[in-house]
Amino acid sequence: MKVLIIDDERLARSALRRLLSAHPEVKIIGEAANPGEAIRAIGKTAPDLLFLDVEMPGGSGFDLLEKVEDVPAVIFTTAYDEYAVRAFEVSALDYLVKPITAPRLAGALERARKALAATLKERSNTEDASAVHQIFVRDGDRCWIVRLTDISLLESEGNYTRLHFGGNAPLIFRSLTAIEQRLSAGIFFRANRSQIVNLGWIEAAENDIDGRLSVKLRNGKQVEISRRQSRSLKELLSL
Amino acid sequence: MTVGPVGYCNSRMSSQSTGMPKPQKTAHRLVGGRTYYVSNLVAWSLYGLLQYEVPPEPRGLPVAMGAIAWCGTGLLGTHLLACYADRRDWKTLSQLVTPFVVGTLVLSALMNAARAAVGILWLHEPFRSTRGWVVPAHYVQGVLVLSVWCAVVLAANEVNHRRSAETEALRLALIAQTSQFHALRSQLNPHFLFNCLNSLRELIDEDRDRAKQVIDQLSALLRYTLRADRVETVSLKEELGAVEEYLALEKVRFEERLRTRFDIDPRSLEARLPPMLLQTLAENGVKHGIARLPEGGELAVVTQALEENLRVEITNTGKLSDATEGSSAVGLDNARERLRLMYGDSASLTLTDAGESKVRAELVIPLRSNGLPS
Repeated sequence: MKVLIIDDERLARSALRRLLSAHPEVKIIGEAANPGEAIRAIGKTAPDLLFLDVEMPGGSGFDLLEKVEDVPAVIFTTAYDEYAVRAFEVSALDYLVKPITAPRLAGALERARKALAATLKERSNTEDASAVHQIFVRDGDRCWIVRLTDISLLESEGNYTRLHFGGNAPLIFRSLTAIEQRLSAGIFFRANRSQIVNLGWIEAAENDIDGRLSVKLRNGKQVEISRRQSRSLKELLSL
Repeated sequence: MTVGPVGYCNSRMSSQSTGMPKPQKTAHRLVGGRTYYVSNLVAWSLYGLLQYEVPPEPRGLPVAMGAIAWCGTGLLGTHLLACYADRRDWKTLSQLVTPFVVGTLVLSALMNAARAAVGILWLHEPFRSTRGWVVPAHYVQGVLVLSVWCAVVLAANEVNHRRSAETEALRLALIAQTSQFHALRSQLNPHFLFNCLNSLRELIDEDRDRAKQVIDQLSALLRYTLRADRVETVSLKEELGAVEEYLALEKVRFEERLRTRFDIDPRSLEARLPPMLLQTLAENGVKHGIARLPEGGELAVVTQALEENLRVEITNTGKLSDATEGSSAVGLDNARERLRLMYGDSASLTLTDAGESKVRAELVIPLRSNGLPS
């Protein structure tokens, strides 16, 4: 398990390093003292797991995750209770309050191990490995780490985009076109000017009178496909 | 006077710390106190004496017994009436008027009857000579006397009512101010403590001597904050000691990112100020200024004894906008409120942009002051 430690305090980093040394399967591939260093280290070393301090100078742990292309598994570390609650909402693997104790760390690592094993299995089953990528989504005070495969639909709302996943529909400040560039073409499909659907979520497709397609998603949503896109979707779905 | 809010206030206060004025019942009543008993006894006795002296009939046992029966009934009756009003919790004029009028009318008749009864049953006077159970002229006299009694009691009641309302208002104001004062008293930030313990945990492995030193400093600071709960003011020297301890502990965490500078006017060291005030300002500077900067910054403490005031400046690297938002703003407001409660308008605390991405907190406190106004 490749681990990256992100914390602005040297003593906090070395404390975690010392605690992790009791777990031989953990390989610490680096440390970062601020979000800038962290983003470079994540890009270069592709860690499986981050130990991420919530409060750092030059941006919080959440700001950092927003800038990461493919978000690894995250365990938040914090001395702050208020953020601990938020970290929990983030659907992070776990959160550890400082001073970190050995048994709590062992529990968090166990969760990480299970989650990573599940991701690996999923990745080997999927043709396009990028489908299992995770992104970080923030809407006001609520945050999620969400797998691309779990997003059923993306809708444009002006300069914002609404994501639909697992009963949530947060609005994020990024245009649909900007997001589209980051999405893998094999999984997501541009349905019309304002909507992108996850192909894996299409349950049924039917022809409208004027040759346009209308698809029904597994969560019951109905999406109209534009005339031009209907043709390529028919090819894709080999209808 | 409403009972609801007072009760609420008391219950809330009692859960707080010990320095509070004890909540006590200040409800006033008609009956009670030496004044009530003495004045009633004296008035009715004098009236009885008058009853005995004034009539044209020859004085003697029958007249004396009649006067005692008359006035005794009056004394006992009015006392029972007052007790009854207290028991029913009648306090205002409008509540008391009806029972007093009814009481007067009934009691006057009873006083008549009592005198007649004494004459007939005890002295065996012929019924006719007493001119019946109730003599109209006597009845009117009884009503007049009882009306005087009612008027005096109602007036006394009104005065008491006003006075206790005033006392109550003062007491509540005192409770409010004391509790406000306690709430505003700043304590050591728990986040600071946890961060400190976290660093300490690692330091034990890394540098045992340094770890011991940190424990000493932390103990000294904790002891100071405990003491701060019990005293109104401390000398600047003591407060600066706590600030130095605090900053030394933060340096363990921030290492070279936190740099400090002290420029102390020796004449200012004996000045008095509320405890933990500078510590709060220093903590604000670290938390909302230096902690947010990857390269860190400097925190400078400058003190000056002016003619009439103590002036303290705490300057830190950072942005004014960061220092005036959220929890920092709350901390500053609390500190200002604390100063206002202690010094009125003669102390001030201002936060300004000191240029070169620096924020300056400036505190001015009068040198001659006994702290809390009495």
